[in-house]
Amino acid sequence: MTALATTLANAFNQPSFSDTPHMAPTVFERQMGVDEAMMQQVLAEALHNGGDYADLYFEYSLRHSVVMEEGIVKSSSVAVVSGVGIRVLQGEQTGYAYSEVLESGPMCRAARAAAAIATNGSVPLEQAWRFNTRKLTNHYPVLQTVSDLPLTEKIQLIQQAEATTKAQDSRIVRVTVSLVDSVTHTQIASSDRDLLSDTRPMFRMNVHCVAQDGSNLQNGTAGMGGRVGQEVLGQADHPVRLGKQAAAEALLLLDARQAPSGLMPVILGPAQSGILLHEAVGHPLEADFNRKGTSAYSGRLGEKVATECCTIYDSGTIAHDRGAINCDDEGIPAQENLLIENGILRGYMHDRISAQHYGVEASGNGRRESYAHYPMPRMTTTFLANGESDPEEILGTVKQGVYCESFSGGQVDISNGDFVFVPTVAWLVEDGRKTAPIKNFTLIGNGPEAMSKVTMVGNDFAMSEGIWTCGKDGQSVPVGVGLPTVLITEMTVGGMSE
Amino acid sequence: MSIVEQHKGLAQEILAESRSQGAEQATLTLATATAFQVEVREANIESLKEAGSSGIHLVLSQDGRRSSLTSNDFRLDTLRTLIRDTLTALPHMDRDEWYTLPEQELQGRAPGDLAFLDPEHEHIASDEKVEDTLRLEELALVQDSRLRTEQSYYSDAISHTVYADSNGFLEGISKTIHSVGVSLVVEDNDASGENSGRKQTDGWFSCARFRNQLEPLEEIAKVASGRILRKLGAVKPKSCEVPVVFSPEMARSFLGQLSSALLGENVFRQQSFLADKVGQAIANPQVQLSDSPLLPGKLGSRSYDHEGVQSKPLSLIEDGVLCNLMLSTYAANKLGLRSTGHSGGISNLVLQPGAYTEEELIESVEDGLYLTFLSGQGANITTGDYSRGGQGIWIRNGKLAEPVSEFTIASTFLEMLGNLTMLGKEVDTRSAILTPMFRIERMAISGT
Repeated sequence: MTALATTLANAFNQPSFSDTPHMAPTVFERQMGVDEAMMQQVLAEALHNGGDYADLYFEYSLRHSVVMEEGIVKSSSVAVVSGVGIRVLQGEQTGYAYSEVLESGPMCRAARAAAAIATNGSVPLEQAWRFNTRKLTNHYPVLQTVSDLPLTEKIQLIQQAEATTKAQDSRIVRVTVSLVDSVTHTQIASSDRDLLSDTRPMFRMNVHCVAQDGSNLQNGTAGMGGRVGQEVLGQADHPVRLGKQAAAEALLLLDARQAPSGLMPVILGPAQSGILLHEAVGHPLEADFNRKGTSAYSGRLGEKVATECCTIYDSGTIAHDRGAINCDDEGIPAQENLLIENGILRGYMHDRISAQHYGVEASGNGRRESYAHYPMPRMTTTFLANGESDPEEILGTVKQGVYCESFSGGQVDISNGDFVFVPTVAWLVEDGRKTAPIKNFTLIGNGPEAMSKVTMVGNDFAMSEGIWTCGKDGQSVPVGVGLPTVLITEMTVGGMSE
Repeated sequence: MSIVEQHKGLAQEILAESRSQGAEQATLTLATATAFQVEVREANIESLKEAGSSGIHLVLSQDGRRSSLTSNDFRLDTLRTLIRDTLTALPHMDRDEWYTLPEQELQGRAPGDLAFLDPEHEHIASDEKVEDTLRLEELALVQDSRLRTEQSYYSDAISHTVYADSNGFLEGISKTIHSVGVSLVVEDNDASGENSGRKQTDGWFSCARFRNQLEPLEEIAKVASGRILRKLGAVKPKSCEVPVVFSPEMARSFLGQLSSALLGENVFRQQSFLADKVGQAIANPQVQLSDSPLLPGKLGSRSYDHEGVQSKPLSLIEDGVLCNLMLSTYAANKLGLRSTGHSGGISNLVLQPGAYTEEELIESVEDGLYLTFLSGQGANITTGDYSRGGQGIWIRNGKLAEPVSEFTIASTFLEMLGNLTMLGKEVDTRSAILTPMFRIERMAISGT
């Protein structure tokens, strides 16, 4: 069971350093004395019982946050976390251990724990070899990270967002604004002799407010972010924009009526509705589920799984997107993967184990939350390619239905393909027009079935703002989604009005 | 010297360092843990994981301004730098008059042994754990030839946590936890259902502080198999309004969300539909809900809360009337009350069980739903609205009939509490929410 939840639970996001993602020597060698010889020693220890492959995943992250609430700058925090994950693979079996002390002794002890999986006999690594340092394309170059912004300037940004939100209406009774930035350094060393490093910035700004009218209380939220630098803050007046957006949402919901109930056409507006793809298509196409035969899409490569107007990609290469990665957490460079082409299932998202299982190239989707977790196939940024319909024309075809604009999240049952997603801003559609805002409902559908009912795809593609965190098996990773306006001819709308 | 004693020593050094750098007040949580986990599929070890982790969280304050740091590096010279950086940020914060350490007289460790630590924990060999996991898979697969394994797993952990503050509070506790479970997958070939050609997954697990309190593997395998096989042939139900029987797991999900609305943090933020309801009837008079921290061996038990306030039982709903909220020091300051020892949220949330067996609850329904799964984020504790995806089994004439899926159920928290009329006997103890199953008179089902 997997959930795509909003970023209010701001777990692990961050901003970055200014140069290319492969500075030599890395922070691990410079500051912690982890050199090639030490990494070779740990890899040798990891393979001392045997195994086909071993890798070390080093991580060092620095995260800052500052929060404004009830009109005051309430608190700031800094978090520094480092560690190394050590993995041994034998066939499809994984041995895993980690150490938070990056010294030879503790790392070798962890390597011996990871080695417990292997039984096929020691394959001694030859002496005195060199790593091949691999270069990566940088999909998130920044001139200056948000982390380098002085605290006083960050405070000005959140104060501005707070004041804007409040100023929208006297019914806005509470505002909380947070700004979180981080920089995560990673370095991967493998028994294949690859050595790669990456520096991953992440930034996130979030506004939450409550609007009150008598006993009617409603939430409004707005957020933005991604692997961006300070320059993004100069490009537009984001604090003002977010403040207005959050207030508008809460105020709109004060006047919203109960949503209808039953089967009806659903129009998904551009950008955030991409979570449809994340739940209905994305998770079930993660190859671990298919390798184990537990996905609704298992064994269906080459088959028609959606209407012809659906062409769907997952890409880790979208510049500065929250889902972007220069390489995955197994050292495979990010790429754009075609999942569904004109309705035909073309490929899965792989990690190293599933790629080997299927005899294909790894797709750059082996991701993990941190050094304390082993990688598994995960999405990066999942999107549906632009179609041809005018969004107004799509709206015009619906006599009675709902239009969804923004969401708080979703969830999917991989095995049978049933998924839900939960709209926040949505409208009743009557005779081709959005008539009234509606609230308090869940949409439920079945992945392959819903995708067979996508009959119109708009020409207004938009990427969602960088606010999404995906959870799977207890591991959270940042992801992106995107979508043009889409019509699903029939879905179950779970509201409360007759 | 025990690990907790060592941690206490380090905690005192860190507090001394904070003071010497100029912090007026400080609170510190310092923890280490060692965890083991094995996953098995098709009689092979899929993964084996063993590791130790550590963490420090330090909040420094001065004149009502506060800033915090988190690190997994315990070296004093690293921490010294972080403390300096944190103190540098302090003057940029605004004064928060509501932020204080707890009243000293409320702090302390509740007397009594809460059975946190399984003395056998360290003597269980990894091989034995792996054997159990393999055995559980075997036991599950022999239940029915259609079953395949998604995963059979065993995990355990031991943690040592110390809390200290500049009030002089200094306590530590070591805890163990053990868990074993299996999740299965089956092809749904029932042509009468709407899931024909799809798959279903389900499973069962056991979880306890003491390893010898885990359910027998045979029992876990049987329950897991029964749960998945009863899902075959599911259909989408018609939209209607009917009584709904919540399974213990779904009752837990509902109460977990309800408990957020009872937290002072959400009440003073006006993010709780219960904000102005203290003293009012909010539930059926049969409903008795409390927070009970001092139950030996239970997973949510604690002797003091996250800021050292001594734990004691707290009644939340009595005869359907909301009588108390769960308060941290900060929330209590905001609301003009005293801390109830709920920094960090619930301990054990206990819904008092009733008189009915599972069979009797099902028999009580002529036409309705036995709810076994919920999904999505559609429980809104600010507004009290509730709309979630569901799966379950339809009840006809008091008997379980066809499985149902791909529908939503909707109501509001207040209507659900008011309509909570029958409570089960048996309590699920696998989490910090101790609840029986219950019947809610009426909810809106949206299907076809």
